Amino acid sequence: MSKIDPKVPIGLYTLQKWFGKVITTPITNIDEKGIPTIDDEKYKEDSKRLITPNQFLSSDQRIGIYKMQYWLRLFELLKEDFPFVLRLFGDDLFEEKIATPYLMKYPSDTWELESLGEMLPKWVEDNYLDKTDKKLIYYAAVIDFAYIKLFFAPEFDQILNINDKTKIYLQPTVKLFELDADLFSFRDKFLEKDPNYWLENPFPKLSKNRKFYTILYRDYSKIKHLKISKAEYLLLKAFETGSSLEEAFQNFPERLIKNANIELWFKNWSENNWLTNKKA
Amino acid sequence: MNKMMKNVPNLGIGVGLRPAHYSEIFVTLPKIDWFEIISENYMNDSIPIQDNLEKILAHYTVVQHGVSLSIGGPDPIDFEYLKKLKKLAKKTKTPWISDHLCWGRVPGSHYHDLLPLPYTKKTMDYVVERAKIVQDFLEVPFALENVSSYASFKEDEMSEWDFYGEVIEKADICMMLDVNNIYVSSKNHNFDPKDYYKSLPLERAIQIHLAGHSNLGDYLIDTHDNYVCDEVWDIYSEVYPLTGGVSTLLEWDANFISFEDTWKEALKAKKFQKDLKTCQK
Repeated sequence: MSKIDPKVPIGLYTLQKWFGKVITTPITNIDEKGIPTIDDEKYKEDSKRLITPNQFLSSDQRIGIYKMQYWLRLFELLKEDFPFVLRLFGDDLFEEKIATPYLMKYPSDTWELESLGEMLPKWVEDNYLDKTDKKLIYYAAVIDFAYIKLFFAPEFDQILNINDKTKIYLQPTVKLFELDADLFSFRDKFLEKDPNYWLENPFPKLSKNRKFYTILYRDYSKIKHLKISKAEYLLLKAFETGSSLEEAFQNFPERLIKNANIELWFKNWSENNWLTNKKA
Repeated sequence: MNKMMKNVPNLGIGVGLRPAHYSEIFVTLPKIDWFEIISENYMNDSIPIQDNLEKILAHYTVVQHGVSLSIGGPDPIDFEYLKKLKKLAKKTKTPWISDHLCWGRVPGSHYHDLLPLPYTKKTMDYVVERAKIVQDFLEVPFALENVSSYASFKEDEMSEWDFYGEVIEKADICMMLDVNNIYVSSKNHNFDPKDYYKSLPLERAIQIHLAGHSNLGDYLIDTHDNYVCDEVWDIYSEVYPLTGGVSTLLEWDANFISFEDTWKEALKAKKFQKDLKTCQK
């Protein structure tokens, strides 16, 4: 939404735009009262002109309280949504290296809090500079956000009768991953400890050098992950964009399913409610 | 006065429903009068979230309280948001819907906060018109709550209470009075809480909020993470009889204690309601 209400008093709108800019300027210093300072001289002058001081606080300290509240609230929300990324950095560095520049680039534009971190994987991809850990940070962000996305996803009716031509889709509560390392087990280990624990302790062992196929899915209110075979992954992947059995098996590498009990797969997938005939 | 307002019931004493308390509530099914939910937390299709709400609705009256309306914001009223709010209201059968007298976004940026408005005649007219539209759209009584504030504007032409009272009366809507917010703002802006509530149209109050706050020495912050302080109970004991007796709710949003203890804190309100009983006799 980029329009303004045609009846908004122009003075009110001007004040609100200014207020918003001041409180979303990153925190650089905290004063002796624990309030973030307003460092920009122009904003400082504007504060004096616009905000009434009181006996204890100056004009810029009073708006500084809102600045503090804005950043603390959004840091807290991002830390909740990205527990793996948070533990890769610890509290302070997460705020400085990730949350602050991310929110500067992608300020929230909706009341739906679950969307706050939606662009973080893209932000890491486009803006995170340290090449040594960029891939890990990117996938950590992707995986963390997948947990949020699946929790809030709607769930469609379960598919009951499947024939060769039935169009099958994955439920919106399911997401597939093909990774070069066992990041889900790695994440589980990280989450066992407090955010700053890993700053002073060696990271857990990360299994890598082969492909790991994982399905992340919602089981009532819990998001769970499960390792699957490459064949299961490929077949489920075909359903991600919608496919009939006939289409899915058309170019499927036969060697992968030579000894597989495909009927049992479908039974399990149905029991877990991973399949639907409705497109998300 | 708005016809819908006459049928608003006094629900008794309630607590803000928070996920941290779900398991305790579902196991013990406490005999609490009612719950208030943050509307936005349930305006989605997530099955676990909706299931939890349905479990609550099966046993309790639920009232919707929102935080994102931005009634004084510069962007157009968000009717997609209002549609979702109304859809939820059909499910909850909420007897009223409340939000805050504030703003929280400009086009392109949402601040997720309850930001203060300048108390001017122009702002008032603008908010009144928008509040009327929201009330018409929602079709259940709509109330605006006074917020805690940490800054005021040099362009202010009137007191917060004059602004608040006039918005409520001119828009012909209801009042949701937060007595903790009165106290927090009275300290931050150096006024007597009595000055605030003595001139409000309290006959329009349909709900009172109670909460704890944080005292940071030179200023107070409305943190909802603590017990209600004595000074706030004092304000409540004076305001409650003036409203004629309205639904009362304790908000607790961080540093959670057990549900049982949260409820006990809310029930302290009964002690301060005795004045009304005396008056009624």
